Amino acid sequence: MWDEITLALQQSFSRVLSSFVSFLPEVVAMLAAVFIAAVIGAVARWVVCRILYGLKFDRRLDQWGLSAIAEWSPDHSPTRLLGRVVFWVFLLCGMLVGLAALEATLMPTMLARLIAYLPNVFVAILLLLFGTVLARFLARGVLISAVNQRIQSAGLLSVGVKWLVLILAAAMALEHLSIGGDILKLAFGILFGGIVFALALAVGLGSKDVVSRSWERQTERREAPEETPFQHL
Amino acid sequence: MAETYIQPLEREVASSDLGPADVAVAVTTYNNAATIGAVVRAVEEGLVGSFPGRRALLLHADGGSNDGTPAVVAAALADQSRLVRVSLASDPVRPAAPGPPTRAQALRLFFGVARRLGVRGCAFVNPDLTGLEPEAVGRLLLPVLDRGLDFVGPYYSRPRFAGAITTSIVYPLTRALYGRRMRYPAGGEVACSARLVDHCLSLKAWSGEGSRFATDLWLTNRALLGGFRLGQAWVGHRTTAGGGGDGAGSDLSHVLTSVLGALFSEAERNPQWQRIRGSEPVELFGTPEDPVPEAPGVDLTRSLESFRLGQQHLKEVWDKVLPPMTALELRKLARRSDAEFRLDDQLWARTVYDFLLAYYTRVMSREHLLPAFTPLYLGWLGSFVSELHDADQARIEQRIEELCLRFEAEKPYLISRWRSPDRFNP
Repeated sequence: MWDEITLALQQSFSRVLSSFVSFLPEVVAMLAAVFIAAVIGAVARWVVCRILYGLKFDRRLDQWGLSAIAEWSPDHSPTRLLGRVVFWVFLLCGMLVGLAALEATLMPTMLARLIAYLPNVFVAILLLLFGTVLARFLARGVLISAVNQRIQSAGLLSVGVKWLVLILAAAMALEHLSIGGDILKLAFGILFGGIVFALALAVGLGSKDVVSRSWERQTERREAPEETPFQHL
Repeated sequence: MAETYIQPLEREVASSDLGPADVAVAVTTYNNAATIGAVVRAVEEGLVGSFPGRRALLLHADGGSNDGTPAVVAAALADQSRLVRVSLASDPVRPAAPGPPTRAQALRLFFGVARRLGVRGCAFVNPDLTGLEPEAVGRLLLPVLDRGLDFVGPYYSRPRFAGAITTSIVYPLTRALYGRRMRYPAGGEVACSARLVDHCLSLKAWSGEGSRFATDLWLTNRALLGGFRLGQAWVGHRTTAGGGGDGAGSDLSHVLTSVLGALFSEAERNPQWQRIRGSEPVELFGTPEDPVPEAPGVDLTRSLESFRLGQQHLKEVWDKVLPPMTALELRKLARRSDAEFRLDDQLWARTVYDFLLAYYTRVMSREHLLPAFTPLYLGWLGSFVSELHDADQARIEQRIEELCLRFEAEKPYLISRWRSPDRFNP
């Protein structure tokens, strides 16, 4: 009886050990692939950063009006951001190779799905990037115009414009990634509609006196003789 | 009516029909019926009085006015044989479109006509100038004809604080950059010699397109940088009928953007200003009259409020343009009371230079950079008016001179940063 138990245990241990031994090279291969990819990625990141620093990439990006990218970047440096992107691309490739080493049939399926999904990711990134740049540009333009018009809540106005564009860009990006589905559209519609409705209510109810006074002033100005303004130039 | 229509760049024969002329005064109009009559009368009286026995013409180009401006011009002239109408459709660079002709378009055409007519001196006057004196025509053109000058710019008598953009930026910056004391570098009423006309026509590319200010500044800079002999003439009190890009009735930020854009782009295109140090006086013809009637005053509180609002909200923009010390000084200034508010000349000169540098190095979109200057200008205006509200014209002129000298003293700072924009600057 005891011998049989010992034999069963030995057999099961031997099976586990043999399967582990047979699996070990694949694990080692996976770890090696990830490690090598990480090393190559780190080297590539260093090279990319050196080149971009040499080209004064951060400053040039700022000059081209793409300073919004700096906001997303570590230490506000788009060069470092690109370095990290390069590193993670290499690491991701290493992980894919490692996974393929673990399971030979996994790779073609995963790769095919990944490749099919990549254009969506690319378009979503572009949308986010464009949305951020546009949001920053419009927000700054609105801020400067509002300050020059002596609007006290210029900052609030600018932030409102910025977030409106950002939310729109994020919603479009998520839709491209097929995340959220109808819920996202519905949520965005409710949010956007809510903002417009709130503004309409605010102007219609809360500010009706202001609007009527402003309208009266406009009418009076048209009727009254024009006052000579100060000549700046 | 003995009007003569010529298309200067297409029909050579037309100008020969007119025969040679000694001087010409050119004016461009677009719906200026209210003011052009007085301008034309003053010009004709000036031509008759200053150039007896010489053939003097009035060149007129109209941009398709619908208020009867061409008829007013003809009616205002006593001697119709003086009138030469120039067709704007003949401009090869930009054919005429409905609406007011651009200053550059008109200038190009008038220069072409002037050369074909063989005039020795050609003057330009603005159609909406209501204070033009007949003698001003002679003061502008006689130095060109009799003293051999190539460019005579205008010198106006103005109310104490009027023309604050010219006082605070245009005059000090142009003087510091190009080294000549032209009080109104983009005044509009100018006279040019045949030599300067030929020089301008020989240039392959004309910049200065856009606003009237940009073109006038471009012309002055050609005279300043081309080694031409300069002068300035007192042309009377400057009071425009409105509009005309002088800040009257139009948005200040828009005017300021246009002025700064023209000044900065000229500095960018002509880097030879880096070799110039100090400034030389420019001879003034005529004696400016005093006193000048008071103009609408500056709302001091509103100006300073605008500056403080800018300080509150545009910190992110200004911090990109200004070095930390300058930004800190401005922040301290914003906390002062209206009575104690004084924008130091050095701080102002450096601020203007920093914006010029930011324009040159493109630290941000120029569409954002230039309008962001408006609160700073209003801060300067508030400080200037607050300091000199009781001062007479002589004291104000003295104060402007001090400001200009400060701009000249700070020029090495501009040159140093222009040449090494990346160097750390506290």
